[in-house]
Amino acid sequence: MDIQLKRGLLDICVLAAIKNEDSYGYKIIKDVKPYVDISESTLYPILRRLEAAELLTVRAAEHNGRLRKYYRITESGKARIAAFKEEWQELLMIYGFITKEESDDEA
Amino acid sequence: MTKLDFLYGLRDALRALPREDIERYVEYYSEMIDDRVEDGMTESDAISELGSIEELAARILGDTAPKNSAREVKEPKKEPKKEKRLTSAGAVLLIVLGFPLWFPLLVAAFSVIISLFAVLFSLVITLWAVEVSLWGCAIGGLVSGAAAFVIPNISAGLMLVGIALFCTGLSVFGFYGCKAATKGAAWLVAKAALAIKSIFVRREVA
Repeated sequence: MDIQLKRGLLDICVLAAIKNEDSYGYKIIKDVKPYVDISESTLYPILRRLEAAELLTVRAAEHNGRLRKYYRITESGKARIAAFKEEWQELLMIYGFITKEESDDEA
Repeated sequence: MTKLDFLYGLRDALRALPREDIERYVEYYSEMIDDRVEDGMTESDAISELGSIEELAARILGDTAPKNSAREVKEPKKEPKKEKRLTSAGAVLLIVLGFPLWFPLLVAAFSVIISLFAVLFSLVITLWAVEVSLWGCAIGGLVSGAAAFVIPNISAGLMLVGIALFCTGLSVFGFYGCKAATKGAAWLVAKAALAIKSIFVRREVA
């Protein structure tokens, strides 16, 4: 996949992984991996970036005798996902147009 | 390798970073290892999944640009353009701000160079002036010597012609000396001009 495209998508995927409930680093990777390849060294700067942009918040909570970082989406984060969905509605329409044209030519 | 060894090695590899950042990275990867182990992996498998310490550190150090990253979420493609504009704008700004500093220095340097050329020029002219006056003496001596023979004042005439011959001889030497001095001065000027040019035009000879 195009690198620039992948980068933009990964940010949204991470937000989507925490959309419905708080999650933690390793779980986010497990959730996103089937769809887009992501490693822990890729995830780290994404999490930092999303936090800096206030699209998510971080808290440390105790888990099995150690501290684990949990990430929670913010309202801005949810708005970002909604904006993404809108953009891609447009994209899907364009995709339909492109593929429709091809099949017409074949006929 | 144990988890502690790995984290210790990672902390060392990242020592160039600020302490806060190093701790954050180490905590993050420590958590990653613990979560994998909880999932059922062995500690060594969890660690090998992260790759070697050197590779990981290289990737981390390559990523370290927090200011730029904060912008990436909103404007991923404008970044390179912004950086280029800042550089040339910054350069112009520095030149403008530094004007009171570098301009007088430039003028001073220029003046020194010009006065050096002037000194050289006047030296050469002085030599030629001496040469011409020698000719003058030679001619004057011959003429007045001839006149003295006519009067007649033989001793005066002889003395004057003697002086004239002496001056003629000197002027012959002088002529070669003046020619050499002029050539030398011209060579110096050419060399200096090239040196000054090379300060500004560095990359042509590559």
